[in-house]
Amino acid sequence: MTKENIGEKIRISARRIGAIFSSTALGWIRTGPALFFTFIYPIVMILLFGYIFGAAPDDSMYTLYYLNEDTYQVDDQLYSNNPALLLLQNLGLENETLSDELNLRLVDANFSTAILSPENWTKENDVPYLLLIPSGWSAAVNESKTNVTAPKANIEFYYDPSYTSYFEIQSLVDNVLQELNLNEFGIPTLIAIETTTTPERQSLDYIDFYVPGIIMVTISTAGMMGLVGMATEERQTGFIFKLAATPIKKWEWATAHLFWQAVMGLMVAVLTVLTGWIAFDFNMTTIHPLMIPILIFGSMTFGGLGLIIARFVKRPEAAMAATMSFVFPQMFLSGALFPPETLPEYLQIIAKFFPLYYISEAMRSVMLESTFSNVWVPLGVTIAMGIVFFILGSILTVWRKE
Amino acid sequence: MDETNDKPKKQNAFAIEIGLIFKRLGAYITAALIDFRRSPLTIFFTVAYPIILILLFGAIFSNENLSSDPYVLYLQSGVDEGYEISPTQRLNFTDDFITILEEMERNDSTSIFDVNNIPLKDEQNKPIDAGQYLEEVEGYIAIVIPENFTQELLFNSPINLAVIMDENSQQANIALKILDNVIYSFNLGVAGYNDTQIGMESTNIFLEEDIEYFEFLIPGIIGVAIMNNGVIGTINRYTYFDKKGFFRKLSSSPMKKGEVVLGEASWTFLQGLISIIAILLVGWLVFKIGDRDFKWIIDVLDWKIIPITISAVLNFTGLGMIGSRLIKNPDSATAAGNFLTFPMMFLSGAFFEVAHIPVISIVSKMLPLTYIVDAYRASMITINTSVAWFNIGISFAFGIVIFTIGILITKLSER
Repeated sequence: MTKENIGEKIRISARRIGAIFSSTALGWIRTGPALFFTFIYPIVMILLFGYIFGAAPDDSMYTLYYLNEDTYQVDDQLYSNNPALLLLQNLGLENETLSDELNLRLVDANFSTAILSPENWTKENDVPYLLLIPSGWSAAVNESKTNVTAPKANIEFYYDPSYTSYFEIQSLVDNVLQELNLNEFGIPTLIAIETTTTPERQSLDYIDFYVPGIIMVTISTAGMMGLVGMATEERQTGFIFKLAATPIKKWEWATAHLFWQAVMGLMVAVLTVLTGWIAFDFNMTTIHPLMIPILIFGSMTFGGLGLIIARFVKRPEAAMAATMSFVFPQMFLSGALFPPETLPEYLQIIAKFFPLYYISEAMRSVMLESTFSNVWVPLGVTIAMGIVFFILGSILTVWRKE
Repeated sequence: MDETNDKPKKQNAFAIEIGLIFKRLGAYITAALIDFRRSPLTIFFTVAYPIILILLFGAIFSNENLSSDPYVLYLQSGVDEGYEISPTQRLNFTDDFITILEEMERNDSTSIFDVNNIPLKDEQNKPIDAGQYLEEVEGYIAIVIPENFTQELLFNSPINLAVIMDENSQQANIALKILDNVIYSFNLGVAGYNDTQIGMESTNIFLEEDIEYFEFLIPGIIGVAIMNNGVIGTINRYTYFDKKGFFRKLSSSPMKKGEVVLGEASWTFLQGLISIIAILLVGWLVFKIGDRDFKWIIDVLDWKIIPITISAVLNFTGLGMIGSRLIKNPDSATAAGNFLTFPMMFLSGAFFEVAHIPVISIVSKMLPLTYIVDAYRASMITINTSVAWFNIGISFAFGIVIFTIGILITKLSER
């Protein structure tokens, strides 16, 4: 084969790939819903997950119901020191600045424990947590100052375990109590903790770490659903069988579609980053040129996976179901939305079987100079996955009727 | 005479009409059932999807399954010469502090901290910055103990221990809370106190009922499954019927719009019941059978499930009908359905608590799924009648409005 022949073949192939690519792009532009979902989906995803998973603790506002049963005076004797009131003040009662600082709003529960138990009141009012300062608590605190054998003065904290934030609130009350204990008993704070953020992350917020994950979740969901839907639809309408009678080759068809997925991936990424920047002040300095090959090979991976799924399922709705059953666990286990270290050990092992795990790892590693050296392994895996899944997807795509 | 003859005739005609309505409804439901059996998507959304959700979220959020890995703590300590209080006794707070951290254990005897040393100097004898070291090893928390900590503490207190952490790391934040407690106890110990005088007793309000975390997820998953069946199923069926001209054909048959809508709602209700049974069975098999809790499945069944499911059907079939009027192409139907259901799934607090997130908490209150999930939870799990009825009431209010809009904008003839 002469050089000219090879050149001509490459030119023709490129023309065919370009033609399929253009027809896909035109179809996309002319289909209103497809256009709408391409643009609206990443925006919804970043806003949704940005607000839910990216909300920094400082953005939250918790409501703590309290019931102060402790009387200020006993037998006409007025306490000069009222720890109950002090505790509530330290938790932000009637002090808006402190309340904002602690992200805690105190609300008086205002019921009588003689009529209703605290457990039942909490249940009946569907309240996440209740702080109860029992009658005589201040007296008990004051007594233990002079009597070392006095029993410990306890307040009561009732919580509904279905509200996972109870742990945060419990810790917060605990900290305030510890401080009160030190102050009330004149215990000197000999050692204190001074926290600082790791040097390179000082200018970064929660959302900066979530944006790359959200980009990849959006690309994997939209990309796989789009390609699986398109491939099964083309097969059902018979379009793909007509292609078999043309000079177009299977790999050219697959390449054109995977190119299209890569372009879509880049568009989704730009849109997600822009929305993240506008809505959450995403730090643009974390963007690195290496993110482009990660996006391209990531899109190829999901495109290839889409072709593999489309090979084994015949009806478009079945294809969608199969895609969802892969996409959904991947979304939560891959570390794109939650740090994988917080998962049970066996789920951490399962997480490593999902391509999104390596792609998210690569995306996060390139964000910081200090973690940049860790990018090569996940990047290598991402590139390898992109190539392998693309080849597998192309090989497995069948154009004949079965 | 004529009037007396007409009355039984009218009654007869009315009975026949009622019979026909039921027959038409039965035909619609039978057709949907056959399609269900033949459609993998419907079977998936009805049975497999909620099962995946319960296994996934049950595994992720179940407290018992949380990772028992120790928190990796990096520690850099300067040389501590200690302080000799007698010829035989020498204090060394650095060693004591490190020993406490290394020996701390959970209830299951696993270590709380995996303490790793950060050297003071590198191979070129240059001082190592703990923060930079932490980033290089991809750690999330480090503590720096100053040189001659013992003498500093005894003669120059108060002193600060520097903690460097990745504030975005969940583990770092938990580890910091534990470190805080250690420091607090250390302060008490140095001051000669054995224990704190003021404390807190925490009580799980559902301790008596012995409710496990996965049980709180069950109502959310049921709500999400019915929502998916209702919204995505209705949009898919209506757009498909529209494209195939089925609606046009129906408009020339005796079947009325109300019967089509009622048939669709009845089918979604039936699917809802199938989903509930599947979810409860899987939850029982995976999470309860191991504890030999055989009657759990009976305990969670409450008659209020029926009105809640009816309100859910009104809401989600209604939403599906509205969605199908906006989407003409069956190819976009699933995408449109997902677009409606996906955000609702996360915003309603079905899987995660969202009440403390400022914007989300307001949006959440505008979504019917929030009230449906709360109603299921109060009826099946927490057994809270007043909360259940309050939420059922709101769900029905939402449902009646959405379903009515759905009926009004559904037009068989135009299609």
